[in-house]
Order: sequence, then structure tokens, then C-alpha cells
Amino acid sequence: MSAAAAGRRRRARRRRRRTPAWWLGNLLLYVTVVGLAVIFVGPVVWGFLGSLRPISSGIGGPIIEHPLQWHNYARAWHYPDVNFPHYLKNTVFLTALATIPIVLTSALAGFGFARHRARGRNQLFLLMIATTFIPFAVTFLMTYFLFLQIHLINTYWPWLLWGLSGNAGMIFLFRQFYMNFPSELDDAASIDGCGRLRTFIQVYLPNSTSILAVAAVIMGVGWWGDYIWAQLLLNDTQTTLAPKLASGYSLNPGGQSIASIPLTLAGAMLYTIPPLVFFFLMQKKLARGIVTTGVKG
Amino acid sequence: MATEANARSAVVTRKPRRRASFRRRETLAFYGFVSPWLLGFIFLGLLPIIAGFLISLSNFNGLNLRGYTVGGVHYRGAHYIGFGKYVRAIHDPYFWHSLETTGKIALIVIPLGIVVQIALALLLNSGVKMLGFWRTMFFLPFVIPVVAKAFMWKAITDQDGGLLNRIIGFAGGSRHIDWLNGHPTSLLIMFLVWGGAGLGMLIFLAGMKSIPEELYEAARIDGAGRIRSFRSITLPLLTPVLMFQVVTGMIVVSSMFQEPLLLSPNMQAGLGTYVPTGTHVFNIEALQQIMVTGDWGYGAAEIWLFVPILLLITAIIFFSGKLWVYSGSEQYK
Repeated sequence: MSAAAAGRRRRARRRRRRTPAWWLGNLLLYVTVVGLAVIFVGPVVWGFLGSLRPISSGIGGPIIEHPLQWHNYARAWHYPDVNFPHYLKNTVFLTALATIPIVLTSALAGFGFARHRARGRNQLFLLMIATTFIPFAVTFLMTYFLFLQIHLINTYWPWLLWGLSGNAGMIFLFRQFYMNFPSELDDAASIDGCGRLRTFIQVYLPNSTSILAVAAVIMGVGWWGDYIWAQLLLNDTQTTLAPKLASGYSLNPGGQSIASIPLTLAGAMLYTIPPLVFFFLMQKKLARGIVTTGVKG
Repeated sequence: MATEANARSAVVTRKPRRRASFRRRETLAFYGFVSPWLLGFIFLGLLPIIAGFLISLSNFNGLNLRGYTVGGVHYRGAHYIGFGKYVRAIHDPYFWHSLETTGKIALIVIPLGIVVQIALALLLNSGVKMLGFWRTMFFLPFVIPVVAKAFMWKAITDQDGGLLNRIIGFAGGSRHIDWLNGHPTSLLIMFLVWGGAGLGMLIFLAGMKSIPEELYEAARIDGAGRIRSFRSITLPLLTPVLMFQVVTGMIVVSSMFQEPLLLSPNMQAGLGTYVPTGTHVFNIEALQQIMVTGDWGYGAAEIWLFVPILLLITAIIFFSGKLWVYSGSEQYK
């Protein structure tokens, strides 16, 4: 169906339906959409409003409490007890250490599954799908045990190892994407004397930026937000923002702990900004990537 | 003679051999490309699973891997003790209670989450303007780190002046509901449905977009209304996506460690944090048996009792698909 025909049909439908019932239906639709959007963004806005309250107060006061305490953000950044910049640096480093290799090795494995015939390939593929059904509980604590035995606790090696071993879900994503690549690309590349790895790097990777963006956002956001591994594997100076912020900003460091809700919320907001910016930068590519992959049961 | 035979055999076998070497190179390339994942799975997936099983049969407590001597008395290291830990777990009401909690949460979160996701996808698929903007709004929670989300929800459900209590108070209810301690399950359910809706909505939306427009047109000509079209076209053709989302939901709920911890009333104690019984899911039970009590053998045994139950449920759901997942035409699979 051509775009022009679709447009004509849409116009025709619109003419046909401009009745009071149409207006009412449309009104109802937009009221619902706006209402739901408010519910979904509500917690973020409420958290933001909370972060602008005086540091020793709760959530109690009026909805917008004047004067707004904008310097809560500067305080959350400079707070001696938390050392936000230091843990931000750790978080950035660990996220990159895991995400960049994960995306690349997953793409490579996806390319392997999609474009190579080899004995055992289908069995391996089934095995890979099956691994996504392994409950996290089985591997989680025992991986910790293993890292304990080989002395990788309090190091960043685990993140690199996870990165290098890719992610089954992402491999599946890349495989589906590369299956739809025209195979003439491979033939042309191999006639030009391109080896397989070079074909992947010079032909496949540059043509899959949208799906790379999808994988980078899913994995990057996941590792940025990871709390449990950082809490389990890293000591207090090496850890990331997640465990550091999870215990909250204390108003009375060292003594009886009194958490400051506004400061904690300000810290949480600062912690949210980088993935949000990353997401908005990637958004155009992301929408295209999700449409082209199209999850099919 | 010999050289001639060699030459002939060389001529005869040259082509097949070249093909074979091509196949071999392809195989080699394949295994080269998937080996990072395969090695990762063996060492970071399979090995921990085996280690966990061995630990579940031992009296390992985190410190006694090797034998040690204190004050002249020798203590034996961790060793095989049979299935004692399993027997203990089967008779442990806390273990069963944690399974029950996990099941209850899954039974509410998965259907409720799917209904919300389908509703959002339908709304966005109905020709609404500024599609990208609304999609971003609904997807937003996915991007926010879980720790930050937990604090936002603690602010929403704050006992003194949280938004939820203000709304309930405005509607005539109690203004001082203690969500964190009194209704932790409801809080966790709201949190999970809210946080998971965006991704599920995108998946359902992609599924809806792949349904050919002609089907709806034909239905319209046959006099079907919107509701009828949804029931007879959209829903049946979405059943594969529905199955995918049910199974994904199972995996998500059974892999939940962070959310119950972070939504507990006081997070000061890290992994040893007290988690209210309403959100004391299986994972928290096993985690705290190992990390707080130090009874690795017992925690591992609990995990190894949980896994078959979980796999059985997943398998039942998966095979029930024969009854309700549409697979009539290859085209729409």
C-alpha cells in the first residue's frame, strides 16, 4: 500500500468521522493518554519537588514549598559523607567496562549465529535460548562464591568478564537483525577479499547502528542502575553510586543516622541524569531499531 | 605409477577437499565468534550452578572451605553431608512462606502488568498525535536507575505527606497509611507494574504494528466494531507476544533481588536489611540465609528446591501455549 493511498484513506476517514461522537471519542482518548502519562511521570516529578524542600524537612509541607532549595543539588554533589564525584567516576567506568564489550561480543555472536553454517550451531542456539530461563538466583550467589575463590572480590575484573561474555538476550536480538541482512553483502565482501571478521567490522557493524543503540541503551541502563553486584562485590571506596545512595544522605554522619529525604532525592536525581541524557541522545535510533527488530514470539 | 595415481587422486579430490576446507573455515569462524559467549556461559553460568549443587550437599558456611586448627584443636573443612539441608528446607515454614509470597506477587504482577502494557499499546496504536512524546513518557521509568526509582516511590508513599496519601486523603480516606511497613506488597506491585510497563508496551506495540491493516479493513466491511476487531483480530494475533511477555514476566519476578531490598523501610544494613514479610520473596530468603546467617549449604539447598518448581511452572505455561497461542498461519507467527 503506497503512502499516498494511505494518506487519501486517512483523510477520507477523518472527513467521515467528524461527528460529535468522533469529538467525544477523541477527547476521551486524549484525557486517558494525558492521565496515564501524568501517572507515569508523577513519581519523578514528586521526587523532584521533594528534592527542593529544606534538607531537614520531610515530604509534608505544601506541594511546592517556597523558597525552593536549588542549592540542595550543590549540597548533594559536595556532601563530604558521600563524595558524589568519586562514585560517579566509578559508576561511569564500570558501566563502560561492562557495556561496551557486551554490545560488541553480542553483535559478533549474533553475526555468528545468523550467518554461519556449522555443525552444532542449532543446538548451541537452543542452549543459548535456554540459558535465559535459568533463574538468576541459581547463578547469582554461586558466582559470588566463585569470584571469592579466585580473589576477584574488590576488583573490577568481574565487570570486564561479564562484558566479554555477552548477553543471551542481546545475541538473540542481533541474530534476528542480521538474519534479515541481504546475503549479497557477504558475497560482495568475500569477492573483494574480505575475511569474515573484517566483513563483520566493516560491513555489518556500520549498517547496524540502530540495533547497536538498542543494545547499548538496554545494557548500559541496566549496568548503570545495578545495585546488587556492586553491593556484593565491591568495598566502600570502589563501589558505585547505587550502593552509596541506597543508604541515603545522613544528616548526622557518624552518630545516630537521620536520613535527609530532600538531599537523598537530590542525589537520586543527579544519579538519574546521565542515563536519561544517554537515552534522549539515542532515542531516534532507538525507535527505528525497535521497529526493525519487531519482537516475534 | 605412484605419482600418476597421486596426481589423479589429487585431481579427483581437489574440489571436495576445497569445499571441505571452506566448510571447516566456516565452522571455525562460527565457533570463534560465539566462543566469548560460550566460555562466559561455561565459567560464569554452568560452573556456579554445579558449585551451588555441590555446596547444597555440604556443611559449607563461608569460612570452612579448608580445615583449620584453632588452639591445637583441628576442625574439619566443609564436607559431604548428604541431603540433610534439603530435608531441613522442606520442613522450614519460612522457606515455604517465601515461595508463597513470590507466587502471590507473580500472580498479581504478571497479569496486571500485561493488561497495563496492552492498554498503553492500544492507546498509542489508535492514531494519537505526538506518538513519540507519549511513548517516551511511558518508557521513562525503564531508564531510571532502580535505586533512584525506589526513593521516588518512597516519597510517593511517604506516611506523612506522600502524594498517594494526599490523594487518598483528598478522596476521603485515611491520610496516614504506612505503606512501607503496613502494605509492602501493594507498594512492590505498583512499583513493578509502573517500572515494567514501558518495555512491555513497546513489545506489544511492535506486535500490533505487524498485524496487516487489511484484516481490520475486512472486519470493518463485515460490520465489526472496534471492540469486536480487538477481540477477533488483535488479541488472537498477539498471543505469541502475550506468551513471550508471560514467560519474561516469570523470569523478571523470579530474578527479583534489588526491588524488595530497596523498598524495605530502612536500607542502612545493605544486603542484611530487614525485608517485611509481605515482600520477603524467595530470593531474599536465600540471599539472607547465605549472607546474613552464613549457611551456604542451606541457602544453596533452598535454591535447588526452588529451581525445579520454577522450571515446572515455566514448562506448564510454555506447553499450555498449544491451547491458546495462535499459530494458524506461518505469516503471522
